Amino acid sequence: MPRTITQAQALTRVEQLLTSTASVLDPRPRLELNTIFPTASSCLDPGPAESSKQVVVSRAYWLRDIAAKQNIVIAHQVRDHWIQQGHVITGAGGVEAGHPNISGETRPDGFILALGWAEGDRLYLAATSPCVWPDGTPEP
Amino acid sequence: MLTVMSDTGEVREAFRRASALVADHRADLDQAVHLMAAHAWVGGGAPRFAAELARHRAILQSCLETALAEVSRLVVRHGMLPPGMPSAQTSVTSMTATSSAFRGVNVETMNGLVCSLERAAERMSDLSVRLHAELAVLCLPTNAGWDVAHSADWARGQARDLKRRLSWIQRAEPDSWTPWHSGVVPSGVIGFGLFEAFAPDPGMAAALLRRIAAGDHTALMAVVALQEQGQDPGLAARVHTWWRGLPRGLREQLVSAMPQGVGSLNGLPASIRDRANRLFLAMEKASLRAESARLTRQIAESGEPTMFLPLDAVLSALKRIDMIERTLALGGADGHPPVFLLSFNHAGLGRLVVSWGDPDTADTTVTYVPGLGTRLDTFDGGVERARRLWQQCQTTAGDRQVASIAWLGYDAPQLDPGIVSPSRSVAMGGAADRGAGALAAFVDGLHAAHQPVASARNVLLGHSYGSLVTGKAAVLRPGLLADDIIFVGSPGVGVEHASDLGLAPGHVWVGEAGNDPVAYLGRFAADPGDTGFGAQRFLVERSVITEAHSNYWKPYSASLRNMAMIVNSQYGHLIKAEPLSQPQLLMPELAPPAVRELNR
Repeated sequence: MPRTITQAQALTRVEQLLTSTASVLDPRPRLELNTIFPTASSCLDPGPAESSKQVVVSRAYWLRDIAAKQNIVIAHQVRDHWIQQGHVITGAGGVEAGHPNISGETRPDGFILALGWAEGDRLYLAATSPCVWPDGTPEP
Repeated sequence: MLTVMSDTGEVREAFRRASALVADHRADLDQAVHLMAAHAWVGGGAPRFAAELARHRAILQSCLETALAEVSRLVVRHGMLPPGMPSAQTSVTSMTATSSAFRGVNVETMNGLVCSLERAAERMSDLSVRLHAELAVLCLPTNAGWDVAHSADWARGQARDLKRRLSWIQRAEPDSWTPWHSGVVPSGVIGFGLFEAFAPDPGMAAALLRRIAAGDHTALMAVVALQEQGQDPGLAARVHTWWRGLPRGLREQLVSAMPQGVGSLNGLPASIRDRANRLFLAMEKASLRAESARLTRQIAESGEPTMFLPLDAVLSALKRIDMIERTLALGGADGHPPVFLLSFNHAGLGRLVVSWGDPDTADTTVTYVPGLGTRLDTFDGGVERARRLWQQCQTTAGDRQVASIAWLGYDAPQLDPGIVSPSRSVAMGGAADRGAGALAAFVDGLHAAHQPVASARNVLLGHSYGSLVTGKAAVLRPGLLADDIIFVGSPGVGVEHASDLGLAPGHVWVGEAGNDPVAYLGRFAADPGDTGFGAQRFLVERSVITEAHSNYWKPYSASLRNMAMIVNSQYGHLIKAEPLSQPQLLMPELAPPAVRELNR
């Protein structure tokens, strides 16, 4: 099995993806950590090059201080930023209705990107790493 | 003293009085029939009672019609023209409530039914006397009077019985874990409590339940066995009603004395099942530990190698219990919802049903049905999938509460997907049939035990072979199983078209990752992913970069988000595939390496 980046490196990358996205948004949101998912989860349903002993790293932030009527604008900005960064937009829904859900994948490292809408007209940004070995080296 | 009436004037008067009786009494049972027609949906004994009631109304009206016809013939025999006859028929219209498996019934409305029957009985008794008198004085047959009296007695007897049962329902003793609401009760309590005398009982469950209350463990096992078959859709409601009606102290006793059986009864409140199962878990752990110590000593003393096998079995069982305990320990900690242990058994392939969140109070409950190769030893994966779905749902559900259940309630085929072939389909179908019965019964229990709230929702999520189990369960309970059904990685769900599953159109959902091998195995009827199947397809993430597997449950993946949105009935927000701006391989893992390189 090949080496991977470490869990810590994956978290750094996740954070970087999220804060860089938030930094280009206008109006600038206040980021509030959404802890409903733990930072590290097991690699469930591992693929051929993966192992259930690996982990995925994820993080999500609520975008605070954004008025509901700005949701569409924010969604377009997020989408444009991800494309401009060279990432792939894999799907979108509910955008023009003001309930935007966008999913993307980073290049070249295959992290999941997410902009989501929640009841109460709140938006969140999230990113999830591929399956990685906790310290980068394959376990026996 | 009988006087023969020959005076035409008196006959005409008699006809007028008879007509008045018809007009005054033809609607005596209408209100009751109207109420019953509006509530027959509760099932249990209600439909049969409604039919009986309708029959007595027909008798009443037919008697009035007959009596009036007799008097009218007398009028004609006296040389007069046939008189205009008021009709004895009335029409009763009833709006049927829109179906919701969680809708309750207002006890006050049932009180209204009892009062209506009492009133009708009074009036019909009065009618029978007057009718008898009128007919006798004219020397006409008095059968009509007798028949009305019969029906009046029936109505009076029913009113008395229903009144007694209704008051028993309202007196249900709460305990710390189950605050029974007395204003609105689950529909099953009406169907199998109020109308119990008319309720079908194919498995003789009523007698078995009485014996369980008397401490009979064999009877408890018999009910659990009945339950597994999933043949009687009313069983869980009957069990719920029975439990609710037991004295609080007796419920306590049953939990302590027979925790394993009580913990697996569908229809019991989740909090009770959880208590009973945790008690059973602790008892099993203690007994297995003792057994392990005993075997270890025996091995040390006798040195016999054959002892290792039973010791190994005991240690494996202890490992399974340890896994369950670790899961339970997560409940309520670190933002996790409370965990309810709804069922477990460490024998054989094992059983484990765990709910994240309380399924009896949740606005939406979703049950995950696992597939090939699932067994207790490795079901922490299934429990984790259910947990992630809960987390994704709650992220966007606002104030609504979600319960997410991991259901290992059947023996899943253990075959390696790589060696499954269509010729094995028949053998594999058997496991799905048995699983479907158990799943249908489990869902009956979710409906029966839920607090009566019409807006509550129930969703099923069938994964790989579990989707076949789910499809078959839907066929066992047409229109009753779930508000939405989701299939992922499905090799087929046992029907040719989504509409055969009995759900409202647009509520059967299929997600398939492009490179999920199970979805391309031998088929069980039509491929649910085909447009011809009529299901709604939703995007599940399939990585364009890595050779990703069925990562339906990756946090914040499009697949997990879409499944959560369906569960939350946020249908308008589903993530749809973005048209790709440059050509992408749809199944990169099948392309030769050179082509894949081009795609980077």
